[in-house]
Amino acid sequence: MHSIEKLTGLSGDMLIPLVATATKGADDGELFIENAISEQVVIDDGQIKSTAFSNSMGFGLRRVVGEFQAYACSNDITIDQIKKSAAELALASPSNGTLAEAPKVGNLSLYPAVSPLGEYDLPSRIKLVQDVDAYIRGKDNRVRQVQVTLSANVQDVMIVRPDGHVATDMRPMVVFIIVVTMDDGTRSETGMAKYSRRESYKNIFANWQSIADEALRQTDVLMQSIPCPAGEMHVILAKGDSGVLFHEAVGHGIEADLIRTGSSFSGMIGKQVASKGVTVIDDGTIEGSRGSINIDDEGTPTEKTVLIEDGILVNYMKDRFHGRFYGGGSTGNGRRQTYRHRPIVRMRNTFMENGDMNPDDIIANTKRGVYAVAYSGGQVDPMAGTFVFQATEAYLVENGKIVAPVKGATLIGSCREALKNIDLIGNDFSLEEAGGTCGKSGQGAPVNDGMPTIRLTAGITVGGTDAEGIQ
Amino acid sequence: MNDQQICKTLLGYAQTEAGVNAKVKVTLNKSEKKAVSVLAGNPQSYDNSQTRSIQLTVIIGQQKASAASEDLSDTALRTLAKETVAMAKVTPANKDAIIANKGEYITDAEMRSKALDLFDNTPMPNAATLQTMAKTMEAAALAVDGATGCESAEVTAFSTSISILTSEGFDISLSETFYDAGLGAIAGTDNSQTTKYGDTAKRYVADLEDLAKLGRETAEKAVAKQGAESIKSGKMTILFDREVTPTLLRMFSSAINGMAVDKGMTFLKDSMGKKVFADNITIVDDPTIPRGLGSTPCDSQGVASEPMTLVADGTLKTWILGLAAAKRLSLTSNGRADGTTNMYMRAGTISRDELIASVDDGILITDMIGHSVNITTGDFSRGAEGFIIKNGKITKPVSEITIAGNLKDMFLNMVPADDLKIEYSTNAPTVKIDGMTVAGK
Repeated sequence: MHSIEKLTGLSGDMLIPLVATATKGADDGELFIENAISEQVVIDDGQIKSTAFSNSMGFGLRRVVGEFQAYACSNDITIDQIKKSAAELALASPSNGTLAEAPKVGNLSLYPAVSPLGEYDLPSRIKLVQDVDAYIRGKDNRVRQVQVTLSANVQDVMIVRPDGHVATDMRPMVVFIIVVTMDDGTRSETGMAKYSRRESYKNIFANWQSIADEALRQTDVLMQSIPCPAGEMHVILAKGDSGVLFHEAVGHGIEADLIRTGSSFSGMIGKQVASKGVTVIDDGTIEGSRGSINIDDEGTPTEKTVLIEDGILVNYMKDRFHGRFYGGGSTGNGRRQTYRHRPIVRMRNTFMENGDMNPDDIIANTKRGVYAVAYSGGQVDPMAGTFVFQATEAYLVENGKIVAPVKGATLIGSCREALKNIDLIGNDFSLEEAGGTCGKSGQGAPVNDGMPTIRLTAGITVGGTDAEGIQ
Repeated sequence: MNDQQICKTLLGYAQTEAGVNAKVKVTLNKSEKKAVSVLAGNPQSYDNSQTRSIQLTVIIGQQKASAASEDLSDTALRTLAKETVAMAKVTPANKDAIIANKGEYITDAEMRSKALDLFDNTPMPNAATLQTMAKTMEAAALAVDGATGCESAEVTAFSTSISILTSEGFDISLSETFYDAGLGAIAGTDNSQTTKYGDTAKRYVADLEDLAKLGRETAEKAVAKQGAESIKSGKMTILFDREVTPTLLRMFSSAINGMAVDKGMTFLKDSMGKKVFADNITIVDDPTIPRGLGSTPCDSQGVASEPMTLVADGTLKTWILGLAAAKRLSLTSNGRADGTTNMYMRAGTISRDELIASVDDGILITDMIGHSVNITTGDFSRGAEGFIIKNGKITKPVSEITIAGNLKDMFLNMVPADDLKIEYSTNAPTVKIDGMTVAGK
């Protein structure tokens, strides 16, 4: 018996007729039932700040007719409440639709179908964050503050469609974040390192020292940073974390719901949107990665979707509705934060593929510019086509050499122009160690990014404070 | 069972598990939300959400654990109590573990909250009414010459109730409503699109701004940005429009948070009693504004929130304190365990037009994008859009630039205009700051 069935006493067979009634006269719709549990330990300021757990459970019922979507959700997973929600949705929406085809049946298993919760008892998890705290404080006497968060969650979902299609997915996640503040009496800086994957706690318990060392290294670099130059200049983006560029600069702009409402990439399929040699992919199938899902939250099996091929825009990211609207079907990008949210078009693991240049040669070939390595996030206005991302670790490059670390700065560019200025592409592709949480329409989704080292000759403005430092 | 009974039941289970000397706090949140959106005059969505969750905190000595559940069945409550107490028993002591004692929390919550008038008794509008509101707003935007679309036109109605009960006798039930209407207007086409987001948020549905006016003005602002370009980098005078100054004030409130101060993680940690803003600047936090979006009788620990002055004539007067931060700093809580309430910078004496006229070479910033601020150092760097000011006059729109500086210098150099309007939970007039770095082409 599936765990949701065990929890609610409701089986797929019992629910199918209810969903069929609820979506009568609709083009599409489904019942989404979720049970999510999480646990967390935080050490902060040398003491255990919080030990916590939570459970969240509920259903969301959806009815899609034409471009209209009606959605109701509740914590009461009972036949009565589902019927009540169905009546409310019927009242609020038309009934002249024809039911769309069911999604394919998936058979992916990209992460262990077990919960990390309970894998290590609370005393072991407390000891781990205490060990990290002691280790970091012992390594550098400038350390003033250490905050370590160790958490895990597992999201168990069941999707029931009117056509009898029932899909389930059990999605584990572990998260490990270390924030370090150093103070040498004259200045103070905060740096961080993260790790997050869909897996058990084992890798964190085995490898926490390397993540702690990374947090120390980044904070030490910031302690030596000089003011960042300001203006448009050559920008080298390091492998891995810099993938946030593709997430912000093109990713959001080619989500089909934003295309429909007027993204600056509307109508650009088949056109050059990036330099030759640039191939960008959104891939839900990477084993254990934070952005991977076996099925999306409409029940569509995930896939690897090529978005930009050799600089040409070849596809949008689509959910089921936009798969019908634009043709070609869903690309498996219909995701939702919880049962409280309607599915919308979201990214998974978004990355640029390798080129063939040695990354050291990219730096060696740059006369003057900024080399950015780590970031605290980004944002985009997809309609205006303007994106920003915030570098937290970056360096000044002069005459082919890294000269000095610079203070964190915002980088800004135009979505349709920036990627056309990529002139050098490295062969050192990697995904981010942790990925992040992408926010859209009030919903958070776990995602990951990646890329090789690249250089942009123009199209990105660096937002430092040193306006005279650059020609 | 009603909400109070559920809280009482869970409190009882936790006390039985943890023993008579334990301190326990139960919080029950319930909310109902209705939201609609329209696109090009067509309904896009209707969402109806009814959810609740219960939180439990147990403190044994100084050992603390917390848990939350959306399952309110008796079995679930018993399990919640049992597991949370078991967690607390193996968690090391924490000096910040605290639940307000008798005498520290308010006992007249009902009277106080009634005076705040935070609950709109009129029945929540149905889907059709909300859709008509969204359509009115969008249609007015689309009617503006040069407007080419709306990326979203949404209206949301919220109703929430919160009940808190503690082993120390604090007992409160509050109901609040919240209405929001907003849209993202687009002007221009293809590669030259410009956007503007506008919204209105109130406790009472009838208090929402005229939605047609909001739609029209938002679209006009998107149109005004048409033709925006980047500019040459350099040091410049920046005017932050009233639309973006609340962001700067929120950064200030993070920087005077008592916990951050005690931990040394803010650039203002040594600034108590010192000048942190320009001479004539006063910043107030007032939780008692009737129908205010941030109004509250007390913080979540039950400590009374009273009006207070954070900055008087440029001088820092108080930290933001809950019970734990207050204890660390040997001070008294000012009922701000959850941060500021309705915070605003007092209006200056010169008009916005006069402020603009005083600038020879600068930029009026109307929109900011990105999140880059470092509270430890005060370093600030953000993407921005706005209008160039030349010889005291607004000339052409500017985009794809960043502005950077350090908050410490920025606060000390602020000149406020007289256009303060208290409409959100954080409010400030337009301000002028000299000598910021603009990065462009």
